[in-house]
Amino acid sequence: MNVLLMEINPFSEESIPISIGYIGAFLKKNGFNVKILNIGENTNLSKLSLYNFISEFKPRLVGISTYQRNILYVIAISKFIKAIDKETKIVLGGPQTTFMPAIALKYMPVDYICRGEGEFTALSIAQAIEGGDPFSNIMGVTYKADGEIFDGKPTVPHDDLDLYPSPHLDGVFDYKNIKEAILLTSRGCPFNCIFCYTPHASHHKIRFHSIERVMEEIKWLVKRGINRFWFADPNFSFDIGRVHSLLDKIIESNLKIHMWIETRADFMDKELAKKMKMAGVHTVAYGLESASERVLKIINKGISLKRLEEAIYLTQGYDMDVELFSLFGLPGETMEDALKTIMFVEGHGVKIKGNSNAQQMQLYFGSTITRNYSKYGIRPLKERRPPYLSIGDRYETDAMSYKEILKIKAIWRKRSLDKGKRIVS
Amino acid sequence: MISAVYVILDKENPHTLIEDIKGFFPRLKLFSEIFLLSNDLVSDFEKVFLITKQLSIFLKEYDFCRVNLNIVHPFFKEIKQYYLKLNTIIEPFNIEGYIHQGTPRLILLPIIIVDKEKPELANILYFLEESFMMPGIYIKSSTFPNRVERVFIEPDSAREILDTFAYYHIFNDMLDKVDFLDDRIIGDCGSNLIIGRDGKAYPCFRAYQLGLFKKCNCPDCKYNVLKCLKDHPLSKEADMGSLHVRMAFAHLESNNFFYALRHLREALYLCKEDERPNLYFYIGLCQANLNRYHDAIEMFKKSPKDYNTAFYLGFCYLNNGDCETAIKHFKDALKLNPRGEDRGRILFYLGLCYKNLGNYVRAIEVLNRARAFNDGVEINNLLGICHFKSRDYENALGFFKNVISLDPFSAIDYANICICLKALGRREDAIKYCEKSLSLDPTIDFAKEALKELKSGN
Repeated sequence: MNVLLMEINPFSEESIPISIGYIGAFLKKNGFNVKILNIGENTNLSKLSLYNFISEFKPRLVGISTYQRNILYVIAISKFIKAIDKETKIVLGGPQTTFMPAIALKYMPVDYICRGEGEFTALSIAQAIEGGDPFSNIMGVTYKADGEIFDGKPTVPHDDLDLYPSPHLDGVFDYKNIKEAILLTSRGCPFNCIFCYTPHASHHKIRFHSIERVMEEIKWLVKRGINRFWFADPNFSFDIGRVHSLLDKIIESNLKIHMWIETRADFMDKELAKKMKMAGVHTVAYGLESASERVLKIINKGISLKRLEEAIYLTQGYDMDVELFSLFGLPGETMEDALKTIMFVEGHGVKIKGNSNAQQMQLYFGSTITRNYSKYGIRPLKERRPPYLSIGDRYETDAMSYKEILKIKAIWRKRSLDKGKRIVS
Repeated sequence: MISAVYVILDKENPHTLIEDIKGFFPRLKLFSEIFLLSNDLVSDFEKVFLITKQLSIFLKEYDFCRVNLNIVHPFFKEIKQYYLKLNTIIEPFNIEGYIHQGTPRLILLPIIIVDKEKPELANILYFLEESFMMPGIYIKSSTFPNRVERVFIEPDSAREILDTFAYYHIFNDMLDKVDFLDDRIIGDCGSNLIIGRDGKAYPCFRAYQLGLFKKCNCPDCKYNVLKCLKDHPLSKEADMGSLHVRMAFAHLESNNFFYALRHLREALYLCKEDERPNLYFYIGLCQANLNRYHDAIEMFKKSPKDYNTAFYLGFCYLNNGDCETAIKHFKDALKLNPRGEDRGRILFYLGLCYKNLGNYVRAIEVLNRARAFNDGVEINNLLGICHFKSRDYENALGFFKNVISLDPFSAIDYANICICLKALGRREDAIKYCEKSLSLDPTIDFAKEALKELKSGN
């Protein structure tokens, strides 16, 4: 049975769709014929060629990664696929769907929305379709059958990530237009930043791949001429001992690779910074969020500015670039606080470009702040919104009007060296 | 698949223009750009309006597509009223974008051509920005006040407005490809479509300039663009340097030494002093491959002192007929610890020099050392020749037979075997090999002559 997995990025170039890659590898291992269609703004695909591709491949199941920023395109492509063959089943997964209200299914031309980790969910749907009853014994989804909405049983994901086949080693990706490989050495986050969806989606748990598996992937990619790596773990050095082992292996293997990593400032020390440099890390990204201690406390960041400063100097001291993720429009944040964040970034020798371009805090489905926005002084704008969209950036706060938020946005953009082009969303 | 369409609007456009453009929409990339270039928006406005209208119909039906519609035209005072009319078409897309918290799928991007500062310009730009139409300006001088994010500065060599956009497009396309290690940077600059005044469609900028209907000569086009943008504000020196170097190496990989040389020469002026010796080496390499040995020698003299440079110096002298000097450089190369395979190559050419000088004993000794690294066709052939010249026909025969076991279609080596056999008095065998040689290549004169002699009993 043919399964098509799609990633749609209308506003950036193609990059490795790591999450659907995992699902693809898992389905492939279970006997399904999987293709991945990775659409970026540079992808050679027209309406006509998309039609031909779908008509020729004839997928019986299509899975699409869904985010607030691409949902307009996701819905449109779903409609297009259904117009080609209304029997094709469509499942939406990704951060937007885990906590999306079930009622949203009535507003989208799709059959299922995924509520948790995608591998077992996609497998149960694919097996149900293959078995002739697309809605029988499916897990980890909310689904629409005969106009009614139902919830499937939850799935139980693997604790040991190595039990999932590797999308790299299983060859599910096409690297033709890829400048940098994305790797995941862990999943999940145990912290409690109120604006983030990940801790809730991962039940505040973090799970790991073994060092051997990560090294196998790195070596496999290096053999194919890829030497730039983007580690998408939210906290790369969460387990410092493990990261030391990984970096040691990379150094021992004498691999000439370049790595971008993201971690928390409290997981960085002198010895680790030194080893990162030796292993080929060129950039370390930290979450600053705000340069106001008061705001950091409200958002439950749990790291002081002093600790972050130490990590920045340590990283820069070993000649690695620092990127700072910052947000504006945070609860309790005043104009003065927001301006302090810009000054903090610039004042620490971090260029405002790429990931160091700030963005407005987004109220995504599932985050603590979205669940209790009034408690945090967030006032959504009075406008109608389709149920598949969360509040996003359409709010003002007790401390800042919408106009002031737009003003801060304009200031960030004006000071940006690349007109505000963020890489990671 | 079309990623960008450039339409030159003019009073001479055929009446089928709108229908023709509409026909291209299904082949547009999902996220694409259209440029409408007009010298007079007032007289071309009806066409602009209809194209925008048709585009909006297409985008409403296929709502996973997104198009940036750039309208390029000179400044005039009544601009606002025309854009207000166009705004009626794009308004639903603005609403859709607003509801979905994203960029609209159809955005108008006016690019206004201005030759000097106009008091009304600021007001117009403000109006466009407020109406979600991100404006750009097209100017002929970089000293113009920079008020907007999108500024297109006409390069001196541009003959018409399209040329400027062509330069920008090709330059940015090269920059996008500079990090890829394959040869895509020297390939075409994307799937563009240029619709000329006459309504005819051209597949790339150069094809349009030349009035041709197929993509043509990307290496020339790309080289010219870089040359024309040398002092242009768009191009930073570092970018230009890396582009020339990257282009040069991609051409080198494809054995296109002529274009590699052109880019290397440009890169030489843009790189730092300490990077020059490396570039001299590659320039020399290109010149050597283009048989310009005198020039190549001059470049190698300025290259890093390593075994590669010494080898190529030897190679150039050898090809210039100065075998004595070549031997000196090949010997230098051997002293500089070449890697295994490279050592074999150096020994081969050293042997060739000795052979050319008639010192067959020395040549055989060196070539036998080379066989430890590479025991291929060329080396066996050369050893065969050296032994033959030394009148050691048995050994010569052995090496020529080695050659045909490696390359059973080498007509010349069947002929060489024939000559050896003839010298050894093995007439019947010699005839057999001679006939085999001539069956593969009937033009080998010495084989024809030998056969004649063998058959006549001489």
